[in-house]
Amino acid sequence: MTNILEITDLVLSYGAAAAVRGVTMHVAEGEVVTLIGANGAGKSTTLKGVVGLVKPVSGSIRFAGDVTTTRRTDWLARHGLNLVPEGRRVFAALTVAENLDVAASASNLHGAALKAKIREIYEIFPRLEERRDSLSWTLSGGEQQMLAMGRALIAQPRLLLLDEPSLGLSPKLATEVVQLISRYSRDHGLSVLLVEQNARLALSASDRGYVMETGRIVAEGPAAELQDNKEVRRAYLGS
Amino acid sequence: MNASKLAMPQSPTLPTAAPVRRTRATTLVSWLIWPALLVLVIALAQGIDNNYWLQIAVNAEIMVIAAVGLYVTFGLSGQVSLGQAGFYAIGGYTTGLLVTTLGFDFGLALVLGVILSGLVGLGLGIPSLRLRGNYLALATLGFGQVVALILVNWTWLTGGANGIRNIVAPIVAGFELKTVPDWAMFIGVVAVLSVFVVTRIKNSSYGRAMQAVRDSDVAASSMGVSLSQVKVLAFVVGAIFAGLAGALNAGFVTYVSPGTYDLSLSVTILAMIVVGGAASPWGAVIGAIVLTFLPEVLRPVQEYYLLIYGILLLLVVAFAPGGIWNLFRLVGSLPARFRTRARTGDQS
Repeated sequence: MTNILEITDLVLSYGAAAAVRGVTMHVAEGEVVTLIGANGAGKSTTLKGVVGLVKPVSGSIRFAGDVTTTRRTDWLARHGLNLVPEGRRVFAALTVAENLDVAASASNLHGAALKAKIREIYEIFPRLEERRDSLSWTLSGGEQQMLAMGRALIAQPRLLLLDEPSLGLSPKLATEVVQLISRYSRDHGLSVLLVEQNARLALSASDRGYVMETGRIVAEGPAAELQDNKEVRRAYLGS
Repeated sequence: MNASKLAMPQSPTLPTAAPVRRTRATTLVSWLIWPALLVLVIALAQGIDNNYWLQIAVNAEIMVIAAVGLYVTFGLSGQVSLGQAGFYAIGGYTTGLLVTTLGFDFGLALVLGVILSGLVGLGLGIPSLRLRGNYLALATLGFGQVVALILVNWTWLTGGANGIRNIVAPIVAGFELKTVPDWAMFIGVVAVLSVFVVTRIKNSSYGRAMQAVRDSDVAASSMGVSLSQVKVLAFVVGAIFAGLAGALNAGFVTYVSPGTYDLSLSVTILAMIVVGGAASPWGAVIGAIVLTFLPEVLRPVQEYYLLIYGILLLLVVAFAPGGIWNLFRLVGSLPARFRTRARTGDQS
């Protein structure tokens, strides 16, 4: 299995404050990988570094074999690396359908291919079709999360990065959303890198996991193994 | 005035009139409005007997053009510009110079003036990409001041404080606008076309990308929207319409002089959008008309004009952050809401 994403010794900082201090990790084709850790461990910053929203101090990022360390966010997005940012960030003044349109025109989808793709998104998230003409700020938190993910899927990612998709959702909805992602990945061979504070939920839906603490990877392995790991259980699973 | 403190367009937490956009149901109406507006501006041009009020109406039409342009920059893409007077001046002076020194027809001079405004907008927009909010407002304010200083000091080119007089030329060979009603008709039609173009931009994929960038640049760029392209495009559109307005103004009043193109003009154009409403091109239209006629209506109270103007602006920002347009829409949606409530009320 080849790696769609390879991160080597990545260091990211906000001014003088180092947030990520030498992270090495990879995501294989079709794999769902989760990055867990406490608040402020550097998980979100790692994702931002991968998509070029934070420029690396050192280290390298390879996406689909090419070094992409200096690429711009929108270029990466058009080449299959898409982030669903934390807090969803739907385009409030646009309707659901228009939100999807923005993603479609940015990724140059037209005509029949576009229609089929939108059909597919509405099949995954039927609720979005019901609310297609609603302005997106009127959606509930769960609906906004679906819209944010649907929008990212329209862009036809090869690797989807999800930053805290369960944030602000009810436990039931959070479970649904995360399971939906892993099912979609299985069905379509989409690689996923998932950042979550809800470690139990994230590991249950993933193939592998990394545990991050104060900017470093402190544990890694198959998701089932991490779930049984004593340290991980104590620190992140509350048992 | 601190522009960033003014209501930013379409804050998601504000109650706006219609959470659902019914595009299909309004298609016919939204196409019929354009011929209706053309008839209206022509009727106004022919129907207003009083030359003074007709001139004010033409001024309002010119400001409508500048304001809908800034709507694209500010309302759609969220970039504050306090330098629209600079583009307005470039449009006006270029047209004036080409007509008076090179003997160009007004139409050709106007097109070149608009192109130059757009190019300068491009030149200012690209380096300003990294700036946002207050910083962009300051950079554009600086640009406006630089243009204003050039107008006064480059006497060899701009005529200094005297400006350029006698900007009179046929639009194209053999077709000349002689009377105020002629001009009112011509500028009215251009204004309607400008609003039309801007509504098309709003509903195009570029317009939606602009709104996406305004609402969340992180989300927009991580879906592949090029922030730089979208922002520069929105900026250039604003510059082009400001240049067009300036060029038309030069032709209509037949002279340009530096006094017109100061900071207060830039602030006024921005205020038109805030007062009218930044959520729709119609907000810009309403704002331009209201703020052009207001000083005339308030002429009898002269020294209190600025006071009343300031209070109006405060009232809008404090109590109607969506502007006059959003107030209209709220009032317009009341009957529908009332019916819905009455229906659901029966069951509960």
